[in-house]
Amino acid sequence: MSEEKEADITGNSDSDMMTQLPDPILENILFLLPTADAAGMSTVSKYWLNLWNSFIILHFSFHESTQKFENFLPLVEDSLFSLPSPAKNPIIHSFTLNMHFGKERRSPFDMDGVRYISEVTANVNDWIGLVLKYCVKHLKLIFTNIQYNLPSEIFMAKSFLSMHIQGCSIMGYPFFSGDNAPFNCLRELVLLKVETSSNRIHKILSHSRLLEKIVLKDISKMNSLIIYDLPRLSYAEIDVALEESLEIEAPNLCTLILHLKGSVQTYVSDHDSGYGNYGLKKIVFEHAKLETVELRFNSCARLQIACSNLRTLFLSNKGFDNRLDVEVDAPKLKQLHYEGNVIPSFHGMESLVKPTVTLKLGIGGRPGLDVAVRSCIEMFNHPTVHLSYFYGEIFKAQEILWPGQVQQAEVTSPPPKIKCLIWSISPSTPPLAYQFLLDGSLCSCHPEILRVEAHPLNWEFIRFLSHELHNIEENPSCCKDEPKFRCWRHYLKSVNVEIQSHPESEKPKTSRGKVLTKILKYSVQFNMNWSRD
Amino acid sequence: MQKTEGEESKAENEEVKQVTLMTSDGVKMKVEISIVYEMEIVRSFIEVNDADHSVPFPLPNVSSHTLDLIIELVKNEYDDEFMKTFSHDELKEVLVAANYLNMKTLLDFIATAIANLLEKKSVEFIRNFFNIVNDFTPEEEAEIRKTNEWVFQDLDED
Repeated sequence: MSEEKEADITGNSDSDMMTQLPDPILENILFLLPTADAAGMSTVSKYWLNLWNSFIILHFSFHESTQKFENFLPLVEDSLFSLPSPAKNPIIHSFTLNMHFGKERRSPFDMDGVRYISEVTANVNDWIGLVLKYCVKHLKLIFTNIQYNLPSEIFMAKSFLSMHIQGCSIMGYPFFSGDNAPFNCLRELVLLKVETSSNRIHKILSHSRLLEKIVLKDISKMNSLIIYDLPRLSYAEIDVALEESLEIEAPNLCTLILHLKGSVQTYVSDHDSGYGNYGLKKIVFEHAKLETVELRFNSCARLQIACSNLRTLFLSNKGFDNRLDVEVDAPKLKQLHYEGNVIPSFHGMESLVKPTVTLKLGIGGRPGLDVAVRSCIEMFNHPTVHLSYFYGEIFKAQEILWPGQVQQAEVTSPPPKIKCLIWSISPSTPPLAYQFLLDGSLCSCHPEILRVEAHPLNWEFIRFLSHELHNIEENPSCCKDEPKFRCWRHYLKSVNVEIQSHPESEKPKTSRGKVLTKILKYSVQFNMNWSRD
Repeated sequence: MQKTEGEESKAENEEVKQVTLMTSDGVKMKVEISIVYEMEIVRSFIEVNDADHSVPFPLPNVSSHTLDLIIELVKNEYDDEFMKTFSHDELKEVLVAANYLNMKTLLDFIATAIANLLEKKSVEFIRNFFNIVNDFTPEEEAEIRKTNEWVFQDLDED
């Protein structure tokens, strides 16, 4: 008896801990489990049985390489036909269909293949038709290597909270159940590799006014995108080649990830009254609640950002040589990352309270670059600078970061300190360029850390660096002829070397059900101690 | 251990803003503001009251050990390998705490980890993990097991 009692007590206290968790958290764990395991959870206790019975999860995955469609078909149909009748109003928590076909299915010339695919498609149409009779909360359709034509009725369903459509085409004009009763539950819309048109997307958006998250990636046949009248939208990720215009008006937007391809002409933000055409080369952001902006672009020369809540700004115009002016009015900015081939002129940064700055510059070298780097660095507080040097692509080694230009600019104070300078050099860089690179960069800035990736292609460069940095005389005899200028050798007090390991990707992202593992990378790091009197 | 950039700048006497948190066992912990910002419950408070950060913010539902684990997880950018060192109890504590602190990324991450752990496990393992008392009668359980027979093939050893 007493034993039983004890068991009861522990049972209670433990269930207490778990009852602190609201159902959605436990549901989420069920949701992340494969269907079989989640069903198994219902055998655990009455509580879990109720939880399981309160919603239905249908996850089906087909891989052509490992199974035959004839075997997959009954599996799906058994589950679908054993669902309680729609009249009982059961809720289907999520319906996921992942159809992975072999690459050869892309070929349109194989008649057998065409027949097979049309048979598959007809079945999928039936399944979706059946599922749409129910109240489905989350819908996920993924097609790989074939393009599935989404039935237009899919938009008649009013119950969706999230829709994830991948590898499909939306060709029919989306139907909605009457224009006055839009399917207004949708919170999350993800379209990847979808073939459709601007008009269709606009129609879907205009009927989903409660959207909180939009992801549009690789949408073909779209010219323009206009997002407006979505008061709850807080996350937008857009990676589409737009040829005409892009317009986003969303007062509650927090995160914007924008990859501008094509030659977008207009970008109008939230704040503007009226419709302003900024022409080809200017982008303006004024969303008051934006906290994170990631922007990759090519055809842009002026960027104007006025966001009072902005904390993280990531800019990239990698691969393009256009001059770039960036005007920032973001008093709360904490992190600024820039990646590209030109050094942008930043305006309005002086008032900022020490953001963490990372500049990732890929440079082919150009006259006066050191001065530009220097003024850019001086504006920020101890930035981390990644310099990638590509030899011989555009200019010659002698033209970059040449100490002579520092003299010409009559800079007499010691160069600014930066936190970290990371070198990557293209394999074709000849050893004779090393000296210029070293002198040039260390005359423009004093890094606390100089880092080179420990890659076999860099051995020669690393050997050169350790030789140069470790063999400095106490009173260097160079720079005698220049009264106003002293090179880095006069400032460097001591150097020590260590090997560092760090993860390959800077921010490993965890996505639902899948956690990316980190790959370690090694680098040689010179910790440098400067005397700056 | 690898130096993070935050530590480097601290060494420089640059002030990294910190917020003091007081755990359920009465330990005061200074936590970098960037980590605190992931805790919606604390963030919403300090943003509204631009308060003196040295006054400890009480967390009556989180022990110092759990908070340590959470801080390490966030610092390591949610490192899988680090998570694998957690005991089952620690996983559950972090789940409960993440829910209480309203840390969305951590919740997703920990839920995924627990789901991965429970995959292909027996009912007994799951009961053990959540400390669930089996409240089915043997007949009821047999009945449910029968309907879910297809589930119980192909399970891992516990």
